[in-house]
Amino acid sequence: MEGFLTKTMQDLLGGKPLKKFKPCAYYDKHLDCIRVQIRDCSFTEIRLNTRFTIYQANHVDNVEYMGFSMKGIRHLFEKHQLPKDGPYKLADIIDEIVKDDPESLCELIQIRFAKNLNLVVEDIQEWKAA
Amino acid sequence: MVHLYHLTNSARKNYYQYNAGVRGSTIQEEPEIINREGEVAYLIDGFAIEGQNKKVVQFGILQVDLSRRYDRGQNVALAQFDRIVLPGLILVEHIFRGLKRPLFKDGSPYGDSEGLIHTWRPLHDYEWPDKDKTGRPIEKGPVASSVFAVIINMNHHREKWPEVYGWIDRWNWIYEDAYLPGAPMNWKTRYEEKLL
Repeated sequence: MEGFLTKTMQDLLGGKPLKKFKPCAYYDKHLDCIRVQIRDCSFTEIRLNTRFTIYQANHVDNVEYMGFSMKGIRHLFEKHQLPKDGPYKLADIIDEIVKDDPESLCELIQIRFAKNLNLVVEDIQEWKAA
Repeated sequence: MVHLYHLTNSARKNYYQYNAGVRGSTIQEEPEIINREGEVAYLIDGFAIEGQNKKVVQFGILQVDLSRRYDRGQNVALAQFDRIVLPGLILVEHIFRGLKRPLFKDGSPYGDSEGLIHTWRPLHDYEWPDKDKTGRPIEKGPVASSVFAVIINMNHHREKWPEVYGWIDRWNWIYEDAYLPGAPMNWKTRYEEKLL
């Protein structure tokens, strides 16, 4: 594969062509999060709070979000002793996240979308993308 | 005190050039490859901070982790690894510890506390449009007001991988701090401590 500069990466592919990207969701066990990515591109990760990060595409003319991650999934399961031996609906996991820390999620939604929804935001200091 | 005698020639040259202000000619770094019981890891030179010492160590990534990205078609991430992480990890400007977010790792609910974040400002970024998958990545300028971050976790398998200081788990761009060049935005509240 001539696209890589290092022999190591060329050997990794062993002459195979690159695979076409398809939108995907997967669990990243190293960083304990579910990642959703809908486009293969360079992107900037924007941390919204300790649970949610969104991916913003780089090198494009308009702001374009093309993925996100939900963090601390295994941490949540361990904390609440949820069974790990079966499939879960994504909605159920989000439900657990909301139950775990409802205030921070509501604050995030309120600050992030208040302008679009014409909501009144009170008693919230300047939001920082920590 | 920095000991550079463990560095490969290309990494040492990159380091000296970078610190001399020559940032335009980064030399491609070929990682060391090790095989343990059929499991392959790539080793890359970088810096670690221990006490007051800044020392050269080797960070690893398992071949299987790169293969997973290949299988998903995350080719831009592979190009960034090849052209930004491999030659650039030694050029780190800042090192932080502690991600300050829920992370269960290796049996510990406090897995976030030992995560290391290495950041710097590369000269280029890369895209790899689908139509060019048989060609080369397209070189882009660095992402404006952003830094490149590599997240590294400590090696808890020293008996099998004694030469690996930590494992490279993630690399991506994040917004740059307005007051500290080369550091992520809000680094003071985002991470537990600044090591370098």
